[in-house]
Amino acid sequence: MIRHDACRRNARGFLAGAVKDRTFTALVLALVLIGIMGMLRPDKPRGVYPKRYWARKISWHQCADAVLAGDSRVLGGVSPTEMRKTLAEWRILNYGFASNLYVPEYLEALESLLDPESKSKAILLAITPHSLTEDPDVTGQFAELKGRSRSQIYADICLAPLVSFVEYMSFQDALHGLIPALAKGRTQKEFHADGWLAYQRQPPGEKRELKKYYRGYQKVQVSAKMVEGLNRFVSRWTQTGIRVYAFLMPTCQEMFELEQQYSGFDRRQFVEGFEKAGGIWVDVDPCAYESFDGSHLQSYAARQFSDDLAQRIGDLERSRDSE
Amino acid sequence: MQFNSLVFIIFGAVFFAAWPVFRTRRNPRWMFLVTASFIFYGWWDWRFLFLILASGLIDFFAGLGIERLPRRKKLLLVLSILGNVGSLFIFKYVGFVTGTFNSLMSLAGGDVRLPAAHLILPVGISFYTFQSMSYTIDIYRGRLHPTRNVFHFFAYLSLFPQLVAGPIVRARDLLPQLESAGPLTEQQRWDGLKLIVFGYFKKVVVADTLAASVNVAFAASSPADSACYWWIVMIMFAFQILCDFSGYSDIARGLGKWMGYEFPLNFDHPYTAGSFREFWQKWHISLSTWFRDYVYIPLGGSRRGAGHAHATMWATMLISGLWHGAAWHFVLWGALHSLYLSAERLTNWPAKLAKLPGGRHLAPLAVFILTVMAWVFFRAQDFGQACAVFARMFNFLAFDSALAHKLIDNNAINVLLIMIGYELVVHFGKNRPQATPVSPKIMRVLEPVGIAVLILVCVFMRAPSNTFIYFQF
Repeated sequence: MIRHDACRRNARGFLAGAVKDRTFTALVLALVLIGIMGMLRPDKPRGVYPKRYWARKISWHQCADAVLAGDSRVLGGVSPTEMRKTLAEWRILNYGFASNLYVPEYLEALESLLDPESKSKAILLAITPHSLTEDPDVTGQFAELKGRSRSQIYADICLAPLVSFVEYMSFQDALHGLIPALAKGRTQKEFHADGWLAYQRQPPGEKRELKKYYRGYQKVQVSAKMVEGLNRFVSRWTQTGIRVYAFLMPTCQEMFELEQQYSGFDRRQFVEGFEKAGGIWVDVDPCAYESFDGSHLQSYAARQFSDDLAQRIGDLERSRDSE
Repeated sequence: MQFNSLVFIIFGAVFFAAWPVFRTRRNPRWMFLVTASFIFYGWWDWRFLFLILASGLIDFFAGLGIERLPRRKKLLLVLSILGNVGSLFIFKYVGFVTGTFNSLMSLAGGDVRLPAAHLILPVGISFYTFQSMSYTIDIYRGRLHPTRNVFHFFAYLSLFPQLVAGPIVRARDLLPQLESAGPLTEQQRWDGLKLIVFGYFKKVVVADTLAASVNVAFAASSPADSACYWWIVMIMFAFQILCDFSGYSDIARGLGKWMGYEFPLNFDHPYTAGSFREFWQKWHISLSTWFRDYVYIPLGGSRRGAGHAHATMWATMLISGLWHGAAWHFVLWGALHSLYLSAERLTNWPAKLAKLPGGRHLAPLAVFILTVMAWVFFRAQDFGQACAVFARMFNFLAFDSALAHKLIDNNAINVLLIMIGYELVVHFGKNRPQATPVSPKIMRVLEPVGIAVLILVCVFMRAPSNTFIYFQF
């Protein structure tokens, strides 16, 4: 009994001492605040943890029948899961990255995603004028991720829940989280295991990307060398039995017109060269889907487009099979 | 290992968990300190541990020799300095010297070319060689007795909080502290935590956020044509480098306090300085005093007349510029500051300006603007870029509002305004009696809340990680 009382006195003494210790108080309080903030953060992404998503995506190897390629427009604009509703026999992955260019390193990596055992291998190239430029100021996300060491990738996969919990938040994010009325709009991201990154912005219909693209095309335009390089790969792939489809990635009407006028992209000429290399061009309506920022598609528009694209490719596959 | 990395947080947690066990035991304490410091340094590249070992051993034995063999003490000092300066020269300056020689040869039309040297610069070499040199020089001057225990020496030389980016601590200040092992007080722990948290805030929230905008500006193939844009960028850089470096120093001082050691203050609000003389008394204080004690004064200082004092000051500042980086634009940065200091000595303009109405505030503003201009030479990747940026800063006819707006529209400007506001509060609060509106009891409650919120800000509002700028020196 006496021993029990002494223990209680010691515990109380320790607790009182700890509370008086400002270092201890500040650290405990900080841990509590971090916990609350992490749980209530306003910009919490949905789906796979972002770090894990990128780390897995860059490590994919020989695991797909069909691969979607391109820049941020395909990254956020095509859902493989939606496509599989029509093309059920294909394992499809979205290998799009932000600011991506069709450079040889990317095309090599793209090919390496195809399963050598697959009976029907296909590459689906989403064409945007920017992905055919040679912009020296752009280090695409693909190059950045490829430069990461194995240990970094492993850490990203394993520590993703912790890192996501304490992910960076700007003053603006925090303020908008506390007072949502101040936010002009909010973009919700959802990371899918098949490589799709769905964007949902409220309210939709902003055109803020137009200015950026306009300025970009004043500096760099579609490069003939880049197109030639891509077609060389298309030719190589088709000769080894890989079917290569390409389509113009939809965007908003204003962006489509801007790119027609300033990007140096000649659709007719590109399609000619591509088909000559053995590729199959898929015609899609480039302005029929809703964009949220003047360039990229809203998630529901992306789903609709994925469905339409899959049906077109399905038709083409069937007509090829019947031939 | 960087302070702003997860691996350091783990390392720090393990170190401070074990520290209470080791700190009261004499020999285990030295070994623990040296082992932990070597792990800290070797994490970056273990091969360079041999360099720090070799450089340290030369000075350790030179120190012993200087005391035991007074007749040979000059020779031993020269050998020690040659060892330090030699390793610094090989790793830091060989490439610069060969590059300059080759450029001169090609200008003169000669065919002789020296092979280009591409050596990795060991992290913190400029800091620990200076610290090591001060040890032997102080023994030579009779201001310090050498330690006879090699672990004592390496605990001083490689103590991890200040090993790679200072503050540069003198052996006569640190060695006696390393000997003591009194219990840590609550005040020491609290002061340590405050310094560490403020240091992290400066580095990961302020400096790294500003770095994103500054790096974009300097990475462009040709500098953007807008005076307003470049002035904002350069003011951002001024605060980036201050917060990056003083943040590191604060973290180092805080960690030192947690170990029971005091490191000197390294930055004392330099942008509130009313003259360049005062600026250099507030900026990188441990390096400035090192140059004063081991370069400026031995060269004659101000004892041999005004002309000689100017020449000595120029020499010291040019060496200081070269210490910061082996490139001509760093030398020019040093030269520009020498020019400022010379002009100040000759005209005494800050004192004259301070006498005018509002002059007390105009003088710091003028010093700040001139300092910002000098930073162009420090930040630029080469001399050509520095000149191009300089020209853009003074082309007031070119005003691209879109570019300036781009800068204003991001997080960096919020951070910059906070820092400017803080420095203004410090400036206007100078010479005023300290008013304490809140009772000490309430402060004891409020302060931990404030620090907890600051930790929260550091965790959630940290910008993408950047290496500390002074690591490359």
